[in-house]
Amino acid sequence: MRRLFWRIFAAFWLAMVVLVLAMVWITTRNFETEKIPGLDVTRLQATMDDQLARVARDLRRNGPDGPHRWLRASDARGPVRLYLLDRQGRDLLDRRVPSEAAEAARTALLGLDPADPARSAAAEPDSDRIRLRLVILRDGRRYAAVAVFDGSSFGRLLYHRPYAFWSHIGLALVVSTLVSGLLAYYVAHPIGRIRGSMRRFAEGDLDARVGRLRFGRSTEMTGLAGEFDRMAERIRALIENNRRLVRDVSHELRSPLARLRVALELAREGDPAETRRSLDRIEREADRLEAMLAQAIELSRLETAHEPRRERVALDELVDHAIRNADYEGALRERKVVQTATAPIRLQGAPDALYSAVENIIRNALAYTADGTTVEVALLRDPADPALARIVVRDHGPGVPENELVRIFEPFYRTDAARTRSSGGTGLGLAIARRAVINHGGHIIACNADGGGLEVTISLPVEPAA
Amino acid sequence: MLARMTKNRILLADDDVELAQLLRDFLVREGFDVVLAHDADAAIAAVHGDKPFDAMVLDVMLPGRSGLDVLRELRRDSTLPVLMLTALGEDIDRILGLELGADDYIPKPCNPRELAARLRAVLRRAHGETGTETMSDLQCENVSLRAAARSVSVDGEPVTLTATEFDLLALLMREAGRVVTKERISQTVLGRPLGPYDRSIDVHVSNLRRKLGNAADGQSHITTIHRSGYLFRKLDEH
Repeated sequence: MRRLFWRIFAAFWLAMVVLVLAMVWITTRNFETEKIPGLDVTRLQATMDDQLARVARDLRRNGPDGPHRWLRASDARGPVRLYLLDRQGRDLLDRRVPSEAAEAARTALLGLDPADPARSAAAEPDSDRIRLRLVILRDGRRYAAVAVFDGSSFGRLLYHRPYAFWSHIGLALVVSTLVSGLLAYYVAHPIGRIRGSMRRFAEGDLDARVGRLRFGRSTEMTGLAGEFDRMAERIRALIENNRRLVRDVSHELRSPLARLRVALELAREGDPAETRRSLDRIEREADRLEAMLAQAIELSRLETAHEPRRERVALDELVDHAIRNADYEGALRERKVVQTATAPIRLQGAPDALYSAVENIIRNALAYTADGTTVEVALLRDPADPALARIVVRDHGPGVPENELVRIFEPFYRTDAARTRSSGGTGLGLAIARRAVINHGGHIIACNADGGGLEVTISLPVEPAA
Repeated sequence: MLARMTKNRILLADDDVELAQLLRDFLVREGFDVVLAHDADAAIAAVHGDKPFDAMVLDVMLPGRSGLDVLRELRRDSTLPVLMLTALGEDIDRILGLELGADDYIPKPCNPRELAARLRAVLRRAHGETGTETMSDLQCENVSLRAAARSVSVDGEPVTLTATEFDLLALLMREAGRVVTKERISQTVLGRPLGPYDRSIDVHVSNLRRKLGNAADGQSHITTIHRSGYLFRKLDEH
């Protein structure tokens, strides 16, 4: 987080500084090389000529002592230096004169034709970097005013800048620092927040969330934070469901295991008849353990399933199949399963999960309906909504207390009636059914039917009637 | 065992009907007389029935009112030895049960032979067969213990102790002024070696402290010697 902030800050800041330098360089460059429209001189040359003209005027008006101020000032600032040379080639201030300038001055002074003073007005513009102007005073003394432009481009950038220039640069640096810092924080802060939440989550704190970002609420960051929070929520739900399932399963496995151990002890030292009875019991408990594990795995699979395999399922055939299988088993205990209504209904779904749902509901009804009674199963379209199918399973058993009607779909939830009887159920059937139905976008409810018995209704979105 | 004329009568309270029946078959073969109860009310009714029981095996996970409720109600007027069946890993149940006055616990699913052994240990304690050395009456400070009657009184007021608590107190008072290790307490009183993370002894001691009240100096009679054991204080030596 810290490092990210500094990296972004440095990148922004460097970019800004480079930009400022580039701008300065470009304007300087333009000043030196761009010709004034319509004239054949650059702005730089025009400025140099202008300075020479002013020096010349000063010299003519005030004599050799006049332009000292000009000459000194040109030394102190600006890339253009002014020299004033007499006929002997000596500078008025006795400075060292660059050889090019001295040469140009000498040529100009010697070549000056006294018979043609008009030439003294404007000397030849000789090169880009050196401008020269001859001055003839009234007493006939002759001088050459030379303007020399400092040649090093880097030096031109840094030296001889007026005070205002540096204060502008300083201000620009301060502003760019502030803006860079703000921008870096704007990006780095939300990333740091999100990263911190992720790390806490990875370290096992399943409740770690980014929440509402206080700063740096760009669309992308808010979206990223939201996605993370949604992901964390889903993972937490999955983990907790699985954790609870593992806890419940290991808890539930104890009962058959306890019975198994006692039966084992009884088989160890009993008479042959008792041993056989105990072995039968052990086999039964082993079957029960196996069924419970199979169902626990199925429930776990359904709960973590991302997208169930989809294919076209004939719901009426599926229900019919489940009814016939259950009816066959119920016959042993004088219990029947009959179909009271059916309709040709198709839907997109996972046939095995749907079958498992219907089968578990019917089996549950079969387990609780009284001996000699009938479990009634109806498949019909919702009269109000043709895109909804209902499967209603009704038994003639003891029913369920009103306040427990919702809870019977929780894994291993048992009503008191179910607890004391040895119905042999695994406690997972209804949970599996509910999960399968929810995965298909439907829902499942239970209510006590008029005249006793439990009525479970599955509602599923299906293809509308053709 | 010839010395005992009658079989020990055990009340087995467990809501798992099939398991209870199997356990009954097993315990009958081990020489117990077993009566079954499948919920809390039936268990309490059975305890208050005509024929008294020698001990009770109680599942803490009973439907309706839990086994802990049964124990709480039972302990109001009875010192019937109770062996709890607790779910493995549910330490809270175990500690709560012992605090409420259960004599011992065994996690479920258990080895039935272990159950029978624990049950015998609990019964031996109840019948006062633990101290093989002839137990004499003991008096320390304001606590007096009469071995024959298996009764304890503080300042002359009788105190109701479970068999386990009585044996524990007798051991500590016999060794008054000396540290008794937890291992020794576990062996002597519970009849089994001290298990790792086993807090039974601590809970029994804490119950005992509560029932005995404080000594003359305002502190408990029994001092905890950290990592070592317990000590029944003799005030005059300090």
